[in-house]
Amino acid sequence: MAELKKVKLTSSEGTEFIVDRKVAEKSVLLKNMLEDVGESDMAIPLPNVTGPILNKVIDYCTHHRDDPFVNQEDDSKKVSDDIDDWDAEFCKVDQGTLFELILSANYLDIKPLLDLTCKTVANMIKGKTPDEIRKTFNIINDFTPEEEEHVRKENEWCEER
Amino acid sequence: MSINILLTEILTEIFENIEPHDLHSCIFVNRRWCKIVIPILWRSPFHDCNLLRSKWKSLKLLARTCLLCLGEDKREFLMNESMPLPSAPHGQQPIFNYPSFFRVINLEIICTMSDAWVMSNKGKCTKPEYCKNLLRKTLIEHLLERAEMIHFINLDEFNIKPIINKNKNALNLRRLKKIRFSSPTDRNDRNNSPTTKSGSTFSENVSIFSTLTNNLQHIIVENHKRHGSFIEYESDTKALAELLRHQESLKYLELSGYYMNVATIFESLKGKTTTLTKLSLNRVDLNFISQSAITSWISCVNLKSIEIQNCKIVEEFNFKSGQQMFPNLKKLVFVNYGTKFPVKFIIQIIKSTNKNLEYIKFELEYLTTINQLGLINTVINYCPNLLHFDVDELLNSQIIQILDSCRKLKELKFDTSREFDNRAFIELAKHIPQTLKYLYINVDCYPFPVAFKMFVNALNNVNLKVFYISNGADELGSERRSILDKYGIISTRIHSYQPFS
Repeated sequence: MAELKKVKLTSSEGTEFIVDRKVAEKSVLLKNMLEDVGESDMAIPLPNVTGPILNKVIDYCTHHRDDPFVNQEDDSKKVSDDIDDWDAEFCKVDQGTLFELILSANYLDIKPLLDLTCKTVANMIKGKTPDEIRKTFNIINDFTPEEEEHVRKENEWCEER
Repeated sequence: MSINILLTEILTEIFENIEPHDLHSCIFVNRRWCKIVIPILWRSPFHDCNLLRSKWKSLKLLARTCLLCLGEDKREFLMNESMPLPSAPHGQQPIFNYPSFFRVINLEIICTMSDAWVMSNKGKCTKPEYCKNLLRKTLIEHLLERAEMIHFINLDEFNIKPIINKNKNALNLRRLKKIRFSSPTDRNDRNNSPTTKSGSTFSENVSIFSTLTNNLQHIIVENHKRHGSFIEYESDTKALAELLRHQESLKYLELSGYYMNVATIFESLKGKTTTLTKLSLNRVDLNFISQSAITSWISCVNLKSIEIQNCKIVEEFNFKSGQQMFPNLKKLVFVNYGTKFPVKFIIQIIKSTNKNLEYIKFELEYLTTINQLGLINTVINYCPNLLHFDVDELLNSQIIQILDSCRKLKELKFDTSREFDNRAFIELAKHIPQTLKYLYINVDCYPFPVAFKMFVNALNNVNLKVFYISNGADELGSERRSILDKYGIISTRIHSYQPFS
């Protein structure tokens, strides 16, 4: 049974993780790799993912192992408030971890995890003024007052609605 | 680790989850965010809005920025026609080439924004009607020329053929996937070309796209006029069938307010049997539809979504019994207000779905009791995988049977019948499947608070999150509300979760 096969992954620090092949295949990158390599006991190195993050990613993939593969072409409108309870709990992490999760989801090509983490960041932005957004994410304003005024004027149509 | 480490593509993905109003704040955060957000904000200004008069001020401001981006030639042309134009402070060029970001070319919005500009400069325009027309044409041309990635064109009664013919080579329609032909929702008549013998504006607009693209995935025809000139000739239907035939990978077709014989349109689906996944028919006259048109419809085996709303057929069709029609169907909408429709057809559709249906919406009020019973029974017997069910009146026994047979339901919405009482209410709780998260019920009168207590106590391992119950008149009252509250159930109406909308 191909499903019961295990896969070895190594994080950037060299920590080894053993997961079900089905869990690993949530990552399109790993899925393609496994298909190319065929059966092998060699660990797959993931130099871009740290141990703690890989641990989280595996948690996510294990929980969602039986989810159907979502067809990306289905252009259902993105709504960021329909986050599942488990998923919402999963995303209750510090900003650093959240951004690292985004990078890993992108690198490993796990679309639903990327969507979830992006939605979570989007929810942190919603309803805030520019200043509040800068404070939330520690961003420095590099606009000159003239530039800012120029941008404001050209995009005033959006302010009025 | 800060948000700055995220790649532009990822930030784009994040911003795509944010509505325009909140997005507007993002452009002022810093230069980098501004550069990423502006192109998203300008993809389809006002796209999901009703163009009410209250929006005129915003539309005028939108027109202002678009006009600032005009090229020298168009600017000069408009000035020669003594069109009032905005002047940039200190003669600065706009920071961005805003028109290049447009992905949606919506003629209704462009025309209304032109009108808003002219009307707000009324004092400076000697011939407002002439000015409006001129500005509409110029702005449509301007946006069509500049937009780098047009995904969607929304046409109304404006005849676009002359503009397109003039600019054929400059247009970038490689990404055009979706097109909508719609009669204007407002009363403004924009028909810029009097109907000639050669055909209506509709058929001219439709045929011009037959020659321009064969990559459309999504075609919408929407007529709001009950009787009128939007679609009235046989040549209109012919042109539309031709357009459909040309498209190699058509996925979605939506017709609404189509009172002409649609047989040729259906027949043109013949080559699309594998690509078509969604068919929506609203107020479409299927009365004189031919058997070969039906055959061509049911040969679309990959349909995932079928919507039939207020369509008229008097005759029954002939089907071979047991015919496999739509084995991949996941969503079915059937709404029927007073018009006759052979319910057998709907039943047959449900039976042929291989039990795959996940979403059903019914409005059956005008059906005979036998037909209603027949349809609901089919759901009970053939839809074990249903996730969302939205229906009008159900009998008590039907409610229980549905809950017992659709054990994966996430969302359920129905009206109760007159026989629904306290006891039925409590009984209902015992049958709710574990998966149910959203429950919406309309009742004639509210069950007693004590029944609410028994209701929550009878819930067994259920994940119910939202329970909205209403008699359409009075508030639920704090006593009942707090009982639900204590159980962690929200009793206000919140946005329902619909994956296929």
